[in-house]
Amino acid sequence: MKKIVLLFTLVIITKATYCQLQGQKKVDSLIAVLKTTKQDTTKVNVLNDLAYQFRGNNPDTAIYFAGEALALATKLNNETGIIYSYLIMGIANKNLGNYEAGLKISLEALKLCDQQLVSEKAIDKSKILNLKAGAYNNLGNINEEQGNYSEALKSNIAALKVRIEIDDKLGIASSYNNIGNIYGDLGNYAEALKNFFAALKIKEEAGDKKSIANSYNNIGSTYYNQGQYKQALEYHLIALKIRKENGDKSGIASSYNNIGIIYDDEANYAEALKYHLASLEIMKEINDPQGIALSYNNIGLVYMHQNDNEKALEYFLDYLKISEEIEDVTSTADAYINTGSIYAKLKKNSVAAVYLNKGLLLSKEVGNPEIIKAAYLSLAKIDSAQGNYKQALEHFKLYTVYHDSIFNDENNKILIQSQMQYEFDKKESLANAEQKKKDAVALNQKRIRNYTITFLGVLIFAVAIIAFILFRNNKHKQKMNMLLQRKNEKVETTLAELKSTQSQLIQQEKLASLGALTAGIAHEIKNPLNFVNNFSELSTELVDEFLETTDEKERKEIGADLKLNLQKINEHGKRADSIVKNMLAHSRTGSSEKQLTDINKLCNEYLNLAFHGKRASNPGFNCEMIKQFDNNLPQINCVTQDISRVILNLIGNAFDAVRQREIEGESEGVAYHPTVTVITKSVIPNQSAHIGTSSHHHIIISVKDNGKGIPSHIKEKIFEPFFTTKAAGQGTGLGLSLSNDIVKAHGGEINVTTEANNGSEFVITLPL
Amino acid sequence: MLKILIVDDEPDVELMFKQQFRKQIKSGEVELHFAFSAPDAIAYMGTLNPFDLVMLLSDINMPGMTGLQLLEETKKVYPHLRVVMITAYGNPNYISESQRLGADGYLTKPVDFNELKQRILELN
Repeated sequence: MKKIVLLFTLVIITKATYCQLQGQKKVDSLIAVLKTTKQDTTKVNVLNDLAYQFRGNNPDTAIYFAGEALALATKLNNETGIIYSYLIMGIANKNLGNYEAGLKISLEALKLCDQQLVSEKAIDKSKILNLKAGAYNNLGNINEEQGNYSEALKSNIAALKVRIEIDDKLGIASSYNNIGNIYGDLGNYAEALKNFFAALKIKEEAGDKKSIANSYNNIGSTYYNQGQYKQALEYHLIALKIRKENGDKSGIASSYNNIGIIYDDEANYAEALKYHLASLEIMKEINDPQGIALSYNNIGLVYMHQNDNEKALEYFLDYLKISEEIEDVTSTADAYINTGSIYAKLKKNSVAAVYLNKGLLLSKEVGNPEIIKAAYLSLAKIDSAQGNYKQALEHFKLYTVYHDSIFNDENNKILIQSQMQYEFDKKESLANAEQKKKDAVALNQKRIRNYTITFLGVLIFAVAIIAFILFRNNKHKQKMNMLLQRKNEKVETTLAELKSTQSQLIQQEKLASLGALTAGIAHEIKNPLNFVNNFSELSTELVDEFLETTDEKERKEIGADLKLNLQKINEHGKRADSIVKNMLAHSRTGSSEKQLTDINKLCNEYLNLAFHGKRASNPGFNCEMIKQFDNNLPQINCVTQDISRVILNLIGNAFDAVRQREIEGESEGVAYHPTVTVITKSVIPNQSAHIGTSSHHHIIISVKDNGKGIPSHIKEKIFEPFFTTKAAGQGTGLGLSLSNDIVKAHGGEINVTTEANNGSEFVITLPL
Repeated sequence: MLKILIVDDEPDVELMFKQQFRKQIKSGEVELHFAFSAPDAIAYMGTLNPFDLVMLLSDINMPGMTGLQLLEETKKVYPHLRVVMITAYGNPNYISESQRLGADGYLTKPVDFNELKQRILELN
């Protein structure tokens, strides 16, 4: 995770450097030009330049402008404009994590370049070659982020070749830099350093201070990756010095970041925090959200290493929030994993698993093997901590799969081939190839050994002990095997039984709540049926009267009454029908289709139903019901009957609470007015407090009662399955637990606040 | 002229009673008034000569103040007024509670209007 941080830092700095410092001024001046130019190639260039400015921090905007440029360039047959817009879109898509799209577009750009180069038209060859190198560069970067290091290497070497051809000094340096990065990814630090120094040499010749500082930075990071902290610090401090001389704010922030990481590794946490916080401050100043995200992550890591888990969690959650805001999928995945790891340390293993699995899911989406690796590792550690050794082993196996896929022999072979393509280093390449093979294999073995020892410690130890014991005593081994076998079977059957019991209980809970509804529904149905019967009886009498009388006026009157009655019969018949439909919908299991639901209507309906239900079993029951529904409440896409159940559950609990207080108060003769309030509100927050639902448009449903409140020692248990304060047979204890599950499944949450003798409030939050 | 007050939150109850008693209303034997909540009923009763009203017919299950509470209040202020409870619930608790509070009758829905008519006309 730290390695990733560093590499990202390297990549980001190049982006941030361009965007932030020249950033806003450049954008403003470009937009000004945009307003005045005609529909010509100048405009195409301006649009592309604008897009380029946004490629790092606002890739969507970059794609938009590049798209405009592309459209106009196509109209004008401006080939270079078209290719350049493809290049920028390639970069922007990469930054959004749309690797496939990025690759496709970059390959298209490459194709166009080649077309241009062989065409008869008079073109600026060097310009096209420049773009071609850019396309290779994109392909290299995207493949690197996907972990396809051999492809990445090939592309970057191709870019290097083109740049040498057109003697693009800075481009050459940039390619050396990229190649160095990839070797760094592969753990081949010797080659990485070689390339970084090569890049540095050229940059020093060119005198570009900022670029030189970047090279020193990369060298420092490579030394860091080799564990040579002294050298690493040395080079990072040089980079920092140059950046300070230059006033390169984002560079300074990056150096602070990297130095902080070194101190963190040396367990000098005070210094580490100092540097990271300084870095964070600058990142905030220059408004670099990716930099801010990184800083949060690094600070979180320092706290984690100090075992200050609470503080670490705070920062990781901030990391997660920002990563999500800037839609950086890789960072988001990383943040989920770090947050999950902290929750595991806080012993909140189920929450931890949720975060880790989310992180795993995202990292698979992105296809970044480094993060997937990290996720599996963390999951393995959690499993191990929880004693799920089988699962720990599974997760660890997956970790090694990803680990090996990056380092396997196949890749090594391709690597060697790529190296041979160095035109000006063939001899060294051959020699290097051999050395590299040995290094890689040794490194590979060392790595596997290290990880095995460090992270599989407990598991291997346990397995070793058992193996040792078994080896020593055959009979004992057999006996133990048999015992374990039997125990396993027993555990499995018990598990199966528990699962079936659990589902039975859940079914019972559903039926129980259905039962509660039935009483209310019976009342509801009886009324319309009454009317149907009464009006039809009346109508029969009216028909008799009609037939008896000859008075025209009276006949007209009776006729009118008859018609009215028939309409009423129809009305009430339909009413009964819809009530039955509702009841069926409530009892139906398994239908979990989401549909747009009017929450206000739901609350109203179920408030009435619940009231009648309670009344039926408690005749003296009375309660004031206050409804405050938001007229502008948007409809929510949800599983209607599930949410209905939740609302019914909360309202039912509220009624129980006030009933309880009423009964207890009767003996004391105190005046008490049971009140249940249901409020719905649409919330569009303008400040972000937490991750998850609260930072987006959501609705809240509040059910408040003025009962006795919930004692604090009970409050933390109420969402636990089977926990109930009611007498045996009065409640299943599953209501709140199921409700919580349902709301969570919709991406929301239930929160409860309570005050002794004042009552409780349950607030459901549901995202749109 | 028998003045009768009917209290029920269901609006169609009015139509039904009016049709059931149309002959009696036409002939002037009976005058029906309707209130759709207990507080409304109490307010209306306050506007009348206490001895004008001969019968109160009330649903038990109404939101807010219930029919039983109305029964209790009414009996306090107008002890002579006959109060008959009408309800969808044939709940023994309700029956005993109504009796305890002094109800003069208890009818379950669907109302047997013939019996009701008889009862009312007996009052004459």
